[in-house]
Amino acid sequence: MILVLDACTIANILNVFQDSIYVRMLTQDFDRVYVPHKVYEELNAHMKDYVQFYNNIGELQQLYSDAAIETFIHPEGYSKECRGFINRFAAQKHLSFKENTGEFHSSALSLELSRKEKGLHAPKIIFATDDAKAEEAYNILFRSNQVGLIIDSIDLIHLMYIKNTIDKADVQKFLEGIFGVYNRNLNGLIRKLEELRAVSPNSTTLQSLVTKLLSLTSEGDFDEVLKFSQERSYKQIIRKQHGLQGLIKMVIESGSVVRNNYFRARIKEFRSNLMWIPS
Amino acid sequence: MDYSTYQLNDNPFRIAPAINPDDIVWAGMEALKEKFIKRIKAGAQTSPSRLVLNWGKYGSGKTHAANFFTKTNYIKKQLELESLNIKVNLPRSSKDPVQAFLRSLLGQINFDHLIEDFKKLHNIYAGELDEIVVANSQDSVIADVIKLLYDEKGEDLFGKKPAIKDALKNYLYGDRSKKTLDLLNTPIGLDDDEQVVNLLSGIFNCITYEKKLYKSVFLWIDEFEDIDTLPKSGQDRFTTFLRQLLDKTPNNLTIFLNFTLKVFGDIEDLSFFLGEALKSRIKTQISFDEPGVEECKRYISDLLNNKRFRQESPDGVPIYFPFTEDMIEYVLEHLDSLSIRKINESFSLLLELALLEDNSPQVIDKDFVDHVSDELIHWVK
Repeated sequence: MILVLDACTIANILNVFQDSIYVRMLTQDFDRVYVPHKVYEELNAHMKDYVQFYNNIGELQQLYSDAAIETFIHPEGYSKECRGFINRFAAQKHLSFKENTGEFHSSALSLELSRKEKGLHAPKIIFATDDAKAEEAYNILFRSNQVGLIIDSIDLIHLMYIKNTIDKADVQKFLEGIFGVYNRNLNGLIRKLEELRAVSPNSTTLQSLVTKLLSLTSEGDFDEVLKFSQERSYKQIIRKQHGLQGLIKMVIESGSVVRNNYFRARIKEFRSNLMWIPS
Repeated sequence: MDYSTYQLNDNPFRIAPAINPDDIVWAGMEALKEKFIKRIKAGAQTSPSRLVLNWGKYGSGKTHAANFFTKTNYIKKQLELESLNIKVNLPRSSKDPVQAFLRSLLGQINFDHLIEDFKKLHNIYAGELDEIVVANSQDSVIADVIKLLYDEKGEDLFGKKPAIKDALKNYLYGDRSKKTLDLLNTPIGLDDDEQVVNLLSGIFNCITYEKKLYKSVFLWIDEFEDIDTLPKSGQDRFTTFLRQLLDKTPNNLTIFLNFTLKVFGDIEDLSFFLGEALKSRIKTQISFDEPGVEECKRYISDLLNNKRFRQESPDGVPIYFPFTEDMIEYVLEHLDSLSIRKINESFSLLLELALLEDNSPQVIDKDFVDHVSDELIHWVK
């Protein structure tokens, strides 16, 4: 099998385990492991999003450096012909594929490899991404063109477990650790809201606003949170808290509530021992 | 603002945490208070150490409960129990959560009181105390450090005692310099998590030994849900530390964990953060449920009439004054949800708005509320 990795999947595995070995071990379980150059760029561009989990940026940089993702970069990438095809496909199917994204490059590379990878005859490609929206969009392409399978980091970890590369405790660790890594923006948002309280501890209006926003946040109603933060009467206060609106938007984009429910469901399933591992 | 207009000394509806312990009052919510009193009495009267989970939504009063039972002298005066009551926040995003936790905890314990406590123990047990310390620390290096808390050797040597006391304090805060270690005659600093456990369990075990000095230690850990801001390795370290602390302090320690449900809020999910080992040690859960309308009314009237806030008057005042019962029910019905925090904020604002009027209304009623409802963020039309 050939594995193509998206940036978010690599970032999740690296930052949950905080050990490059789990990414390096993928080369044991797959015949080939590739990333398009774009994914490598994205991975590095977003590295600093995770610095809160480390003593300093140096540690984080060392981790990424040890992971040596550059060794996965596919030398040729995908062809113009392939790209042209995908755009025609999208137009026909009324889908919108954003070309300048890691997912597009990865999907295009996957399609290319499924037809033209040297030494293998129309191999199946496993594309690992943690972007649920991308998975939905590209699934149609993958299905109709028999490219292979789109999975996420949790699936990937399960595969490594089945292949005996990692053990049960590792899977457990990943399933529990993914919450914190995934919710870093949500936690950042909560912290920023709490810091807002300190701006004016005796202002009932401000304190009520923060309570409202925290309450909505804990209910997962981020659209309402955004709405409130944009209301004219509160905009002044909110503007003082640098980056708050940006964080709200990031949390919305990441589909927090659905994703957290999904993680919970996967943990419960793993714990119910419904995976057959022959003795 | 002149709250005496409404026969009040001050605004009873706090929106910021009280600094003065006299301002931390418990109003209404009797059933909840009883649950804590029951737990505290159980901790004082029986031996086994316990882990109690306090859980509820944001703004439901968990931090306030922790403050009430640790910062006021309620337990000592009203329950007549001698106990050590500490509240610590979970270290957030910390690279060394156990050390950060220790520092926070030490910040809450008065070092001089600790020395006094050990002196008292020395008076009670005299020569036996050394053995008690050794048996209860399970670590000879730590035992020697604890002994320094009551060691009277060198007291008559000019200048030596204060230096040792300072060195001891520094040592507890993580100082590992040769100078400090030499002064204390100890080989290593407080380096690993297990030593921290041994130190804390040693101290807790000694001060509650046979319940002669203190009946129990009550440790409140607030904002436990923040554990997911730690990297997974940090989470595991901290939960392991807690588990070991409970194992090594098998008697007279009750730990209350305050946990707010976040987005992935199912109480069963707690096992994701605590790990099965720690979760299985939780025998009691106290849930901070959303209060009903009657409970809220009781809370409001208790607060208004608390002697800290209500001005004495010969004729007395109606229990909901300056509000009316109708108006209170009206407001409660229109809040998007009921929580103590939202009640405090809404009624605080109503009080302030009424006082800001050129002619403050004699009574703050439904009409006034309608007049200002746009300013109430939690109001739903």
